[in-house]
Amino acid sequence: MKPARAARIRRCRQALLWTFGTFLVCQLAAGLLLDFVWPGVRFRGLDYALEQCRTAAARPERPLVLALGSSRFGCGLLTHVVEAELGPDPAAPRVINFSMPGGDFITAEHLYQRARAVGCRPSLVLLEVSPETLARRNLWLDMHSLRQLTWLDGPQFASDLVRSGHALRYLASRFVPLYVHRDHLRHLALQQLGLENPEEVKHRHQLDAFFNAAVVQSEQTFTPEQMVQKSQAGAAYIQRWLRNYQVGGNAKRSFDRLLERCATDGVLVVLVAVPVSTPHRRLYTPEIERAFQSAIRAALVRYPTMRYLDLRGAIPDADFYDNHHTTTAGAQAFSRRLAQELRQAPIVTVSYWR
Amino acid sequence: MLFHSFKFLVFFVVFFAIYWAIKPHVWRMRWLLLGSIVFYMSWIPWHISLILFSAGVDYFLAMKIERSNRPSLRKLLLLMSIGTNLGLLLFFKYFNFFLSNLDAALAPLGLSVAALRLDLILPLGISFYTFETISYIVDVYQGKVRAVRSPLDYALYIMFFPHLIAGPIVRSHDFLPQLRRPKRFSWERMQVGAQLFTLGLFKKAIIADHLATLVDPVFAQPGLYGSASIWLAVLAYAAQIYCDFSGYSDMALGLAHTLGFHLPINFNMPYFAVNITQFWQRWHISLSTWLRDYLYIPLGGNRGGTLLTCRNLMATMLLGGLWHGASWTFLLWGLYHGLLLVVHRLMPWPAWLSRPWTQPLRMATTFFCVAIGWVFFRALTLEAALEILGRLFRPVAGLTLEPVLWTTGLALLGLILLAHLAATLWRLEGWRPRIPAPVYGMALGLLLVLALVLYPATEKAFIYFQF
Repeated sequence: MKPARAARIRRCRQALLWTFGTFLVCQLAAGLLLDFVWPGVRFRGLDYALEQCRTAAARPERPLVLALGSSRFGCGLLTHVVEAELGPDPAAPRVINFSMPGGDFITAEHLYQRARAVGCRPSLVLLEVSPETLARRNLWLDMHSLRQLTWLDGPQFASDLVRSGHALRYLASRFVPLYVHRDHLRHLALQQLGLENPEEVKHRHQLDAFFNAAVVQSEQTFTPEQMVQKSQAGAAYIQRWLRNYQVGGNAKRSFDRLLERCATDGVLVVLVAVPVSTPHRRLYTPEIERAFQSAIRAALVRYPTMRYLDLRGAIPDADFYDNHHTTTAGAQAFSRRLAQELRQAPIVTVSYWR
Repeated sequence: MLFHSFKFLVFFVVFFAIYWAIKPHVWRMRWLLLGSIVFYMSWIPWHISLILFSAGVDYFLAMKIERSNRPSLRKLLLLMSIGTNLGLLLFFKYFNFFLSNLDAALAPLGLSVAALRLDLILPLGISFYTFETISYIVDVYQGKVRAVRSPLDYALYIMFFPHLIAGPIVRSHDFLPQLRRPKRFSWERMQVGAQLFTLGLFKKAIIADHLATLVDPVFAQPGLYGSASIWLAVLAYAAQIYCDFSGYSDMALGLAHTLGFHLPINFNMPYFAVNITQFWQRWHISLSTWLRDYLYIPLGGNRGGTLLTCRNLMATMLLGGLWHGASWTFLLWGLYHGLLLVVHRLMPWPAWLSRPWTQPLRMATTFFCVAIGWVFFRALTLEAALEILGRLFRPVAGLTLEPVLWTTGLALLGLILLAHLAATLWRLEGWRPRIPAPVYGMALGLLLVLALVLYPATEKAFIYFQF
């Protein structure tokens, strides 16, 4: 090979390696920053939620109820309704709905730890449970991959990610985080530069977090036909989820760890099976129901102070806008019912809060 | 599976690693064909049967044409092949267009054929691979190339995934020899490939798709916007379509390079053309040369006097317009370009216009004419196109695009102009060897990062995918 050609090849190889090296270093470094320094970029709504927790932590005289769950709980639990039902007393508990879209026990454990890290010490945790969230096959792993799983979680979640078909999503969030989270990063940059309306930003955060269920629902109006379509699509999704049902996997492990952590912290836990529509409930076959109830029973035996409220059939089908999300009317009915149940539960009395 | 999606990135990384790990040439080519099939089937899987059918028919008919000595049989076989390919194209692309026009024509008689309308999905890349198969069969018929004996080679000529969906339209005599040549991993080609891919991604992600955010609303409801916004949208669309399509072509060329193939260039700074003829020598080069070789020249080209030349130009451009889509707007776009070419040919241009100092003026005039033509190309309906043209030339008040869109639009237009100037005046390419490899590599890596960060939230397909 002529020296000039050899030099050219060497130069090309060098340039290419620098290109891919630079690309990888930028992505991996940004990924680490997003994982450990700015988790709010990955987990939309987290910052807004943690802000509420910080505010609550600053007022320790008011007991705190932390609701952890999915969008079902996010839409269904109206904090102001529950607070009003629990009592007008200024020392009555404050309720924070820390539910997130796709929030199962993996998310709940993550959020509980974050809430504790900012000094928030709840007296009571309302934890959404359902057969889906205890299933070995976890269809929400795509969201977890984007929001909370880090490099460290890779080995632990590898088999679940492959089983649920979300391995690619996890790899994307690890290797090209700047691409995966580009939209939110751009919004944040525009916000920092003052090019975005602060009201719009706040509104978006609220929507992201599902904190203000009324806001979410007022944004969404569906025709009866659309509601039927959404219901059918949702039921088909759940059916896929419940195929070859088994309790287990990382979600179940997170469930166990979370209960253990709450017990250690002295936090009372109430497991809430939140309302779902009749077509949705029909998907819970006797076998599924047996496996689910058995898991719940085992947890109740292990933690005797824990309570379980099965409110899956608490509201009529007309109060859902799809198979498992309540309308505003449904949310009000559910929130009132939940508050009543909490008041009636032997250990959750007014005296308990004092 | 778009070139700029993560799915494609994963596909390509796996495909590429195995491609170069395979040593025997035949097996490497088989792997390439398998990869191309998987790539194509990632859209609508059953459409692969159409392309395989089309390729199969041409493969056999080409061999028969070559073996036959009877001119009439050869011609018949040629017509059969062209008929099959064009038949599929006409059916999928133009059937409903023809039907809706027939329906409109029959309406005064109280008749309707609307019930015959079919719910057809245009197979991706059909316009491109149809032209490739036609050029192959015509070349075999004319004895310019020998019929391919290997079905693998022929299938790859049609289905080679970097050019399968939106070109460049490759010619058999360019591509088939490359398939037979054993491939050797070359760092130079890898570097050129990476550079072209990154540049293409940048054009698509940063320029074209961001310009789309200001073009789309204006073209969707042109009646609402004032003249200034319409002007910006029209100029922005000229830049958008260039960056979108040339971005795709760059990515295709880059991918082909990394696999050891060379595809023909499709764009050569078309907006710096000094006249419309030159524009067509620089824009979508693989299509314009195809139209020249397989339509314009067979029609007689410029050999039959001025009138016939003009007729041939008009016919070629009309069909070229129609090739883009089944709509009157595309037909008018073709007609408009045909007229521009005829005018350019017929006008007795004064001698002073060929002096160097007039170049910027001629470039600007050509660009202006082309940009006006894009209105027909982009408008959703003929009425919308006329509305836009009306508002361009008659100042009208109306909605104004948001300031951030104005800033984005003007900045990106400025960037394109600067890039064109840099490439032409300062001969940027000549500077590359003088830049230290680490600096050059890092700059390319950062450009790649930037392109991905600025990529719009929703991935938009390439404009030419619809053709």
